Amino acid sequence: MIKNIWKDRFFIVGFLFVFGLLMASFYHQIVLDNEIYEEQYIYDEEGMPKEKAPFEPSSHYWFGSDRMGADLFSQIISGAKYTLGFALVVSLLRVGLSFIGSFLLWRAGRVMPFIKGLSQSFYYIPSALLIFFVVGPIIQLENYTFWEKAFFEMLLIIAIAVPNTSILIKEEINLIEKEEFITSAKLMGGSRLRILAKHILPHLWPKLLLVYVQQVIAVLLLLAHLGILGVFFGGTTMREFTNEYEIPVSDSNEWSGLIGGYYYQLRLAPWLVFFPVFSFAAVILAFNFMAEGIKRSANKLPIPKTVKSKGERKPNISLVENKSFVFLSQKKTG
Amino acid sequence: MPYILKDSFLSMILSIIGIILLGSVPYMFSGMTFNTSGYLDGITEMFRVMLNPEEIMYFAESGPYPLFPSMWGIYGYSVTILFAAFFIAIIVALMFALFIFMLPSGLKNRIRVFSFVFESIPDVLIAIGIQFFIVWFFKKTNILLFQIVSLYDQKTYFVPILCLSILPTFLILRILLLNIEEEYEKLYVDTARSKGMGRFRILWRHVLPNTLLSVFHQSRNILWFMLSNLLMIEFLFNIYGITSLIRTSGNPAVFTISMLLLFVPMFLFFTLLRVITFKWVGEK
Repeated sequence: MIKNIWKDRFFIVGFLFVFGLLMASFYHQIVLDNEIYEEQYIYDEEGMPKEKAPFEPSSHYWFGSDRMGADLFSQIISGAKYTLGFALVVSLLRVGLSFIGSFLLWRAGRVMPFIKGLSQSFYYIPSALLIFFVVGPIIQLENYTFWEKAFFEMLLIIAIAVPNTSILIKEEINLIEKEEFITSAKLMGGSRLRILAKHILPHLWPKLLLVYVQQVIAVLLLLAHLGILGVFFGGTTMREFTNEYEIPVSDSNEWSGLIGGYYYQLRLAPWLVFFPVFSFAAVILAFNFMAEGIKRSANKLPIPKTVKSKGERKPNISLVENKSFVFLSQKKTG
Repeated sequence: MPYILKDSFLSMILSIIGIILLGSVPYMFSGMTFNTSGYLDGITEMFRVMLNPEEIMYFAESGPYPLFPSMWGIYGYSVTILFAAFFIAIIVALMFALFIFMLPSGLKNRIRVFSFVFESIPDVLIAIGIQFFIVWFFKKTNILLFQIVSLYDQKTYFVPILCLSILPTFLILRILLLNIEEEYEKLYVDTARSKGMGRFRILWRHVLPNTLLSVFHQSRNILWFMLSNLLMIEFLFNIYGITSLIRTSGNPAVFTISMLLLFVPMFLFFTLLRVITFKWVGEK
């Protein structure tokens, strides 16, 4: 079932988009040495300054430029690997931990309703607000390095999704457990571990893949929200713009950092906020396509292996030509 | 029926405890190290404060104020926006679903793809897009369509509710379209048709109530999703609502009490839905 996804149009389109973006980002990193074209003025033929940054989107600056004149398109390409990489890794850890958690819950028994009730409280709190509320005061502290802060925030982003995802996976396991073949396996005397490994897990993988893709979407949305609220990864440095004031600049061009950094220039240069948000939208759409593809192919039956043509199907009994008739008593056995 | 009430009561108590536990999480970290005893102290303190809500102070620039009398206005505003958007989304989605269902099937598939694409758009993009549109329209024609930014004492309703209801509309529309299709496969539709009932009447009297049930089942997820949207919209439109209050105060007690207050109407709504579905189809 899981191999069918490579034959699904929706999945392939989404996958190619994300894969292409990541490849472009690494190409930019390795071949172009992560260089971002930056020029504050556009000159006309006589070498006189014609226009001053920020530039509007044009054929030269596809997505426009910021006030430093840095090309937004290359910034977005360069930041893609951080944002996508972060979302992919965080969701993997979320699903991995929830997978372990679901096994703990599987045998929880009577405590289960209580755990379920407690974790319901996550449904009444927007997750971006919770992260903002806990992380906000801590990342303003001076005495921690950038990596410590990033790691801390990452742990929190992982932790808030684990309880509910564990319950979700546990319910999927329970659904599979109700199938008839599990009962027959039990009747045949299969031990609990064997039933889990041989009968439940093969049916769980496609569901886990779907949960994973949905988690990636959730993490990307969360990142966009946190970016708007001004909490972002990738580090912020204050860069001098003129003598009078400094503007926050994202170190790694990570997308939520781009949104947060440019948010204050919304009225001056709307495209600076629009295009990072638009990139988020495009990637989320691609992941939604992948999720749709997984759902579709999970409903299909496995494609039967190619049937051999009649010529190949001939029974390969070696005919005994010279001794067509032998008495059984004379035939050597063994 | 008694089972539903008992179960709802249990889940209410547990959710309240859960929200308080989450609200005390800032006490868990001193700097970046875990501080278990601090967390336990924080929880007991939080329970004490929740029992005496009049003690909670809110720090504004001009000094501390008691949170409570002034909180109700802010709270009522946010809840109005949230629920108005939710009900508008359901009604609009229903109307669209009925309309789309009357269309020929080739067009139907195209609309389904379109709504799928639209649903993936993040809320932030929609809010920013609408803001730009209004500003652009104002620059071109000098007509200010709506008050975009709400000032402290002036409350705007139209634009935030519009922004907040767009995404849930598409979400609900998708659920409805999927389920209408599933319901139509069922046998009772054939029976009704063989008795000579009209196409629209079957849809309206039999299929639609059953599909609405599935929307009710999803309503918790939809409202949760709308809460995050509310946070964004209050920030982007500079609305002074409940999430802005939490954001600016940064006080765990304010956070917890606001979340508990938001929890109450949502929880009542879900319990009401459970009771209604029980009376309707006998489903627990």
